[in-house]
Amino acid sequence: MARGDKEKLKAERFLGLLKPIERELEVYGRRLTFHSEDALDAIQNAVLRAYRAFDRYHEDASFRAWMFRILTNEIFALNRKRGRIAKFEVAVDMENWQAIVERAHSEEYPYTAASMEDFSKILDEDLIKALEALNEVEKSVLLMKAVGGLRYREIAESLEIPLGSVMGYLFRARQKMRNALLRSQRRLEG
Amino acid sequence: MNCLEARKRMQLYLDSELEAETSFEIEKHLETCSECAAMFKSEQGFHQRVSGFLSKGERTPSLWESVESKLMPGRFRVGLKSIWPVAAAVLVVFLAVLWFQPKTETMELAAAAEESHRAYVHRVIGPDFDGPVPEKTARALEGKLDTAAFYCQPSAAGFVSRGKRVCHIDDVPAAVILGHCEGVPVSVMVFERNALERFPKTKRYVGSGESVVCSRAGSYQLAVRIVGKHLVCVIADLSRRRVEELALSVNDRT
Ligand SMILES: [Zn+2]
Repeated sequence: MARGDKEKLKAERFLGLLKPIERELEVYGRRLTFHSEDALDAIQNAVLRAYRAFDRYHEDASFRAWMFRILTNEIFALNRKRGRIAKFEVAVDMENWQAIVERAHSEEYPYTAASMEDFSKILDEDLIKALEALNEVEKSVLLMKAVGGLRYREIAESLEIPLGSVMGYLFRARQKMRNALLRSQRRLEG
Repeated sequence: MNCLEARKRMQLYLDSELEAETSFEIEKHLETCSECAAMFKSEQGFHQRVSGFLSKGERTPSLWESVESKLMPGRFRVGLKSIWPVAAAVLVVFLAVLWFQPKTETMELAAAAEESHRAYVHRVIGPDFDGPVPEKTARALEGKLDTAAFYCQPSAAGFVSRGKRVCHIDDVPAAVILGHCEGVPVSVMVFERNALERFPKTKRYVGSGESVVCSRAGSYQLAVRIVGKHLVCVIADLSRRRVEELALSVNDRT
């Protein structure tokens, strides 16, 4: 087979896998970038990088998880270039993950009357504001779950963190969101 | 399974991460326990509301067309050939603009201040301490930044400090005072004056003779001023006049 044909087949196979998840990748990218204008750069870089590495991609792995991983790395790198502070914040959390997980699994699983409230009336703008309370990694884990529909194991591989810390981050991200939403609900009522 | 065991597995259950057998156990419990059932239902409603919102969004056709076109080698080559004259023309215009408008360069500090302030506004960072500088911090900064920098804050009415922290901009330490004014977050970043050597563009602006130099920093307004031995930057989403006032109200405490 001519080299050009082989390249064309590769591109077609790649696009066949990419197309069904383009919308999800874009939504994820736009929500996770510190500066929204970075999302387009990150997506473009990630796709080109993935394509170059496509020969090393194995059929049995999840393409979705693989793409999310590459895109996440691009976004973290861009966010980092923009602000050194975000990196510091993440480093601190990585040290504390064990404590987070332990708290998440402790006997006092903090479900009180507060979590019984009706969340169906939450406004979108309150959700946007609540999302700002999360740090980069918490946001990434929550978005991989919500937007990409990834399993815990896939998220762990994407971020190269232990499975337990995925649970911890996800738990904490939701807890922070919940608290922020309860605050804005109370403000509306009060 | 009892209530506690069921509740401990609530997140895993709702994320479909449990073995079928354990999920079944939980469902059996929920059938007989109305309290847990209500709690799971509420939590599920919360998950759905959050996920539904976060996963909303359209695919931008033009973005993906442009990305995809870069993959197809044939199309890429043709595309490059046809855009080459256009690209060359764009480059010429771009270089000409650069050549004739040297003033469009921005202060390095504007970008750095914007980063730091945005992180504060979005609550990525917050104050580390309030009141006197902790001994550990002072020791870490010895020879690089004197503790007086943490007291270079605006005295203008309306400014309220929430606390302080250290931040590094290109390895240059700054005392950062995080506060607010008229309900809007304000960051005050204080460097040693000689930090200007590290920021030549900023130095040129500050050395122009004005007592305060103002600039846009992304969506914020920035004012930079030399106060005694320090370089003070005030940044906020306030009017230029207000930010300038805040910078002018910083007193020399050294
Ligand atoms: Zn129960």
